[in-house]
Amino acid sequence: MASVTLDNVSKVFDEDIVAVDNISLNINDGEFVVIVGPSGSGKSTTLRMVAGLETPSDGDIYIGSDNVTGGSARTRDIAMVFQNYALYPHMTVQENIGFGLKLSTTLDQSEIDDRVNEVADLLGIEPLLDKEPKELSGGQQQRVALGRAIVRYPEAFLFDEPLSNLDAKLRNEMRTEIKRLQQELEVTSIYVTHNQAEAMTMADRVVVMHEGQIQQVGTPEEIYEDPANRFVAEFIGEPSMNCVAVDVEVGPDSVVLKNTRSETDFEYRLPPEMADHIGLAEGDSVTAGVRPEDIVFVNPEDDRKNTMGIEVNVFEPMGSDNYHYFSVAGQEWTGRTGSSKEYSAGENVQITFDLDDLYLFDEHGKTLKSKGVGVEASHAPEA
Amino acid sequence: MLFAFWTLVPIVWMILSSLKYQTGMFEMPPTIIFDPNLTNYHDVLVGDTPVVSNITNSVIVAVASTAVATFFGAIGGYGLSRTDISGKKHLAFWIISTRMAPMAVVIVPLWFLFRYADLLGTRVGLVIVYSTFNVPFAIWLMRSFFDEIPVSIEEAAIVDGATRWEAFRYVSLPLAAPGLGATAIISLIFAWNDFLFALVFTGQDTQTLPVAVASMQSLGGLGWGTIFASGTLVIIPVAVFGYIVRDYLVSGLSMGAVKE
Repeated sequence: MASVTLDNVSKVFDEDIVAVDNISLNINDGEFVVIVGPSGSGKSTTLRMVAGLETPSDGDIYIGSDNVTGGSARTRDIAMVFQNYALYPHMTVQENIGFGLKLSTTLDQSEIDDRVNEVADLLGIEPLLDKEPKELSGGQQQRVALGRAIVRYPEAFLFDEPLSNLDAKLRNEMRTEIKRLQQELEVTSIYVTHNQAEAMTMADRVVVMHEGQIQQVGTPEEIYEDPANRFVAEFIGEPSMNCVAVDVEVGPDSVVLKNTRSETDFEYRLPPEMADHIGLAEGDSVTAGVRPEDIVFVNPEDDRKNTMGIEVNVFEPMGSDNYHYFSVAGQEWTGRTGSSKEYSAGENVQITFDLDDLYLFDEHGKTLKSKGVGVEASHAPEA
Repeated sequence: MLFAFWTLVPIVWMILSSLKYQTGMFEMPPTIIFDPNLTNYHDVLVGDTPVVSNITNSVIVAVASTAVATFFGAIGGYGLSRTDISGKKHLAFWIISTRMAPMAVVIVPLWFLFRYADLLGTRVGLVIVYSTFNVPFAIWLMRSFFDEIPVSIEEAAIVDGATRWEAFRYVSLPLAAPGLGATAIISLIFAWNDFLFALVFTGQDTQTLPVAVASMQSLGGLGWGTIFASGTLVIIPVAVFGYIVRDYLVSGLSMGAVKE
């Protein structure tokens, strides 16, 4: 097992398509890092460069202390699980798992068989060893692909969207399984996905990528509660964060964030000292954000400040949760409540949210305020 | 049905006639139930006009040129499918364009070339001619088979520790087996059935079976029995080989042979 380091790595295709733009990342020995981002964010290219299936246009890649930048994939001693599993269709499960050992080690056939059986036992696939991949279900194929990776005791595991071809139930099952295996084997792992739920549940650290660049690296909590910018804030979380453009008006005893450009107004008062920490000034244009689960539907008898009147457009019961869709200052917003709260379409309700749950982003999308009310939540722009 | 009837009747008639005496061959309507005899086969195999050496020539030339075409087809098709070089389309078109000219056009230049290279009347010469026509076709056919195999399977092999050659040898090539089968039979049929090149480029010792059969006609027009018998012998190997690889051929020619 080894650490993996990317040092100012870039990848340019066809001379002008920048897939990965000067990224640096250090993955510790035994760590589980999930790279998450939308399609075309460069996450798979990054993984393929670590695997040795693509050569970086610039920068260096280290596995342990070895600079492997120009080297072939076969010499890196890493294992990769592919999105389509990439099992060898003409070989049995036993041969599929043993193939790497046969090629890259000096073990004899009986030793290979022992290792394959050991791994099959770990994954619960011994009864399948004599079958061919086409006889297996998607979940079983996925297990075989995992077995093929594990059996070599590699320096690192690379996962390229391994669960995206599975149905929802199986996906959750395999998610837990992969996490369990990784913890048991303590192998450095890089996992690429566009599914933020996978990122949040599996990762020791999450790397959010967008347009070839790393937006943020942090623990799932950090990414969720203290996003570096608006992209991260909106990308992580399901349903995604509600946002609205607001103007700053500085009054005598409060600072007001306001958008009155459409039917449903947005208006939120901040304590002046907080506005001060953040560095808000009269006439600034910023973006306010609040997560759907932080939206509070106000009962008429409650005495709450900063309420806004909205009309529910669509109501979706999700079982344990209810989603309410409505419009705020011309933007579609979502409010997520427990199943006990239910407002039907057409109903007029007052909503609000705590100051704690308010996020603010400057005009470039950089975070000005994250979750919390103290100084730690403020990210005043550097002077 | 009509098509099957149309194609099979002459063949059935030939096979039946090859088992009759000269007198019974041209009865109208032809007799279907009769007492078969192997005199004609005896004649062509050990009798007055033996074609055994011609059969040997045909087998050697057809098998050798098929092997050449399949080998280079696999290598070239793989290269064309997997490498990402500029002008790949032009290269691919250039390869297949060598098959576009009518065969008769190249006969004269080839004849002169072969005369200078001392290849006229040799089996090697004929193998070269057949390969010239079969290799481009084989490359194209094999290329489309390799295109069907997901690259990620090879990548998995390389990450598993395989060299490029090992990934080709142990993973892609076995998966392209239907393509190899289809390529082999098409090349074999071309070489086995060819008359034109064999007529021009072979000598007395190296004549192939189709040429030998045709030349029987000129021997006074009396050898119908031997013509039918050797005609049947021409058909049998290709029919048997085609039967053996028919599954490959079907999946091969309809593609989609490799699915995940």
